[in-house]
Amino acid sequence: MVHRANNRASRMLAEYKQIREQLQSHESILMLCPAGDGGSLSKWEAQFCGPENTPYADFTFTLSIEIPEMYPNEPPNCRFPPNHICHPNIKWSTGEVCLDLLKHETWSPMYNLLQVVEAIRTLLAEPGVDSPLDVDLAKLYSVDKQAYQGLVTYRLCSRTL
Amino acid sequence: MTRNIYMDDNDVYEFQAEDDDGDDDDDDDEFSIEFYNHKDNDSVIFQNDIFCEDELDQQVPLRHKGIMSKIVDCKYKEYGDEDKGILEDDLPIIEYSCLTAGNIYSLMLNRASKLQPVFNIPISDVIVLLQKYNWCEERMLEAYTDDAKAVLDSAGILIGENSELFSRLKTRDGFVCPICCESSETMKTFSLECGHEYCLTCYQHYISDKLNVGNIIKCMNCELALKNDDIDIIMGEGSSTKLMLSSIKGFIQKHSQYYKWCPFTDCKYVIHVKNTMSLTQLNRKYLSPYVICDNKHQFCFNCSLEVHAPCDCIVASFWVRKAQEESENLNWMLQNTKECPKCNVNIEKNGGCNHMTCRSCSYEFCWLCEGDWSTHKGSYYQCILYDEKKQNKKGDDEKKIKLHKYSYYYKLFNVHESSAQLDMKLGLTVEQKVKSLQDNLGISWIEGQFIPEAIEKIVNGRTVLKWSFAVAYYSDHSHNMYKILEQNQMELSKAVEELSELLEIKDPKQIMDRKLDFYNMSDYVEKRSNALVECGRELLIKGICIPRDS
Repeated sequence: MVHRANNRASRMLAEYKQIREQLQSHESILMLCPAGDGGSLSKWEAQFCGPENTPYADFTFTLSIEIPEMYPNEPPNCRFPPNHICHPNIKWSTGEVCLDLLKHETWSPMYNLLQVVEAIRTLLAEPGVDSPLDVDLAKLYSVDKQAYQGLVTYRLCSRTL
Repeated sequence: MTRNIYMDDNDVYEFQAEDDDGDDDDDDDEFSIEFYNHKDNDSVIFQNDIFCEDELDQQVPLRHKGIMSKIVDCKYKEYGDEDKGILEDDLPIIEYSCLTAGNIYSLMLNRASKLQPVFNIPISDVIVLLQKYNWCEERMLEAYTDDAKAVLDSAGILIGENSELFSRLKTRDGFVCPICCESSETMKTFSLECGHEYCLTCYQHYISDKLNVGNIIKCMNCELALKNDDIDIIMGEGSSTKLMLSSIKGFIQKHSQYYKWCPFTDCKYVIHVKNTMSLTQLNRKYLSPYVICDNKHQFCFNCSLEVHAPCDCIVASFWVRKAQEESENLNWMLQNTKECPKCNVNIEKNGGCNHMTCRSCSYEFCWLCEGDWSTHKGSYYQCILYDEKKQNKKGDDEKKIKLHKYSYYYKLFNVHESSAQLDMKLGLTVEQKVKSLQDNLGISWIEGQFIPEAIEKIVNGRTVLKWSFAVAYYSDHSHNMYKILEQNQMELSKAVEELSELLEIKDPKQIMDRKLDFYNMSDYVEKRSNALVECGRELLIKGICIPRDS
């Protein structure tokens, strides 16, 4: 079965228009725009502030998004810069994100980039401690929330220096 | 000539072979027809025919053509002689049937149609439910009686709507598919009752990968399940079967206690054992549950290896693991090196002539016959002693036991494995010859059947011989039983070689002339195989053979 080749392009264009409209009134996502060379829509970058009432609240985060050839049938690849964010489901050293939604089996073509960024932002507030990437941090989260918050804040403060 | 065969601690069987061409015959008298030689007339051959068929009936479980209903009686009927003491009459019978994933699916469909009145929902919905509960109706019924609505919701089944009237497939003008953001004048779209409508191409893309996974496929925007009919509408007739078979495969994998795929390459059959109790019972008796699929592949239901008698599954697994660990090194050594006949250092021949000089002990020898080079004077480039020496090789092998115990056994194991494959090939060519004989001389098909029978016996014999080396490797060599095992191995390997020689005959006429030899020899090979299996098993039972990692 041959799929239309321009499938990704028209979908990305439609999303681009939609995102530009929606971002104007969005308070937490500061930026979501293509970051590729020469106007290519295959690489995106997002910036958002951490969710309220969490140790992430006072910080902003950068997320790079790569759109695969098969998008929207394949999920986008999302990744934080290395040593950027401290979280049970995010690998500190690489910035790799572990989120169900972004797995091939659970991804639905109906999700769009805005929803993906929102989902990752929600993940910051509600870590999935059952399938952690950082086992120690997940343990700390479930045993001693205060210590967890302290550690996250410390790490986040130190990264900017 | 008189030969002694040591069958047991106490009994020494003695028999006379009158014909010198090497076809030794029955060494005990459990069968009604005792002896044949070339002078026997046709009527005896006829009797012989019958005898062989009887024998076959006993040894090989009946082939079954039907799918579900027939149960194959596969009592692992062993080794004829019941008076040996360690054989039990009450060997458990493995009840099994040979199926394909398709068979299992049609069985499941039957079950679904029986369940349908209970649920009072369309049969396609029942199938989705079964799929959700991994084809386990008990769990499904239990959950359904607990909370029917929750079960239906979680499976993505909508009830009450008249889905028959709902048109899923539409041709739309001016519709923009929310997934690919395309539109055209004649865009085909699909939607379930939920109304989430997407173009057909996007739906096809969405489904095509998921067909191989086997889980319920849901609407791209909600939890509503796509039924088999929907999948067929989108992907084309018969596509849902692919999804169902993937789901059945998952079911088989999850129930490996009862279901096993035939491990042979490209074989699609699944063996379903109904009485799993028999498996442990057999195990306790150091026997293995051998099953045969409809492609005539025989394998052990426990460990999915080929027939590994006289080893039980534990010895076989130890041996296989060891072989995997060592074979890489060993294969290379066996293929590329020889041991110096004097100091047993491994030597690699990397080119040049056959005149070898050992670097470690300076012994000069011939690469081919491993004999002293000084005896080769005058024929430096062609070893004339090779054939002569080849016959004396047995003596050499005995020396190697002490030197390289494992490589010795592994080598033998390997030799018989490759020989069995060669025998198969050889047999096929002979069979073709017999076929041509059928055409030319009008010999009936049934009369030519002794060739495939002989092939079957020789391959079985080689397999037994092969695995008996694993038993030998793990056995206490000082024990008397071990010597009996060795003796049995020798007898079987002699018998196998003799039968193999018969199979090498190319002339069809000669083959027909020696038909009786074929019968006698295959029968003898079979008996020797059985004796060896029994002997090996006894080593296991008596704890003489204990597998361990060295």
